[in-house]
Amino acid sequence: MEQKELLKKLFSWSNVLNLVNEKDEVVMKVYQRLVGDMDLQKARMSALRFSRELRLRLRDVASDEYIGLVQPIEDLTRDQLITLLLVDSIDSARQEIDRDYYYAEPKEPDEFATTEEHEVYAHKWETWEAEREKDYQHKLVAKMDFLKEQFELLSDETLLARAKTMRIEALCEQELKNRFLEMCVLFGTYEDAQFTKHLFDTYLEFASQPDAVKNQLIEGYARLEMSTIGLKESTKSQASEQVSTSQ
Amino acid sequence: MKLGQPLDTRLMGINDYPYTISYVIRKALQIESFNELPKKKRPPENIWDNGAELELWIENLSAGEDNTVDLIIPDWEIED
Repeated sequence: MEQKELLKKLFSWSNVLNLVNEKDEVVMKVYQRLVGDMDLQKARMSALRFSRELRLRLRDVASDEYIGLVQPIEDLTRDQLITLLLVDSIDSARQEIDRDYYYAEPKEPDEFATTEEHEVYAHKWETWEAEREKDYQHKLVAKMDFLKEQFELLSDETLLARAKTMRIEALCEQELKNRFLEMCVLFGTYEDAQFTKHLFDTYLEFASQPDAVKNQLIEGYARLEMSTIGLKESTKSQASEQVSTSQ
Repeated sequence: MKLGQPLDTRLMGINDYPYTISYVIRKALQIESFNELPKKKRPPENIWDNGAELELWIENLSAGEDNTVDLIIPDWEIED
């Protein structure tokens, strides 16, 4: 994303959302904004509580959640188990790459640079985003190939145990993400344009809404979000400019 | 939004800022503070987002720092 786009996105942190019914008629106008640090922390704590509760149920062999979501893994073939493990590993593989992923930006020519050097620099910027994405995908594929080789070395029993553990982990991770987003929607949705009166007083009130309403609210809020990479980029691009002008 | 007023007037204080903006402000201040270090001692850009690496970099800086001061006293200031 270009610097201008990143900055535009950074300051587009609120929006008016028209809730529509099944006939696409506007039934209500609500106001959404990205939450602040305190609400973000509250949302995270609540989401962690939900995910912990789910984890306890998934580990209980007598629970409906275990019978419905974990037990069926026992019927899978070895190849299916490896595929499931790989699917469940994608998020953690991405996180591991993200932890210290860095793709160097084109180096700005100095004040004595020729026009051609400036042209090369400008051209590098045009292709930089696509090249970074390609590099990232390459690293991800390599990581997944490595994991596949590791899984193939495991015995059937270990593979099954690992698949169950990772399934529980993946389900809890998804629960955490879903609930976190829902809590952010709860804290970030208002009745008024001044953001003084929340649309919902409690999570239960939000959760009891029809799915069609909840989905519109979640999609509306998600449009305001910036990706972590985008957020880091916006800081770096501004800081790099400051550093280059101060030198 | 008016020109010269990047933040909305509905935002009453820093706690009210969207987390994205407060993150960027905090991060920009942190990166700006690197400029206070001599150029050679500034952490490289690839570790700016890695808290542990950054901490290690700063620890290594402090460990290798020369805490002695060369005090030059001109001869004429030394009493016989």
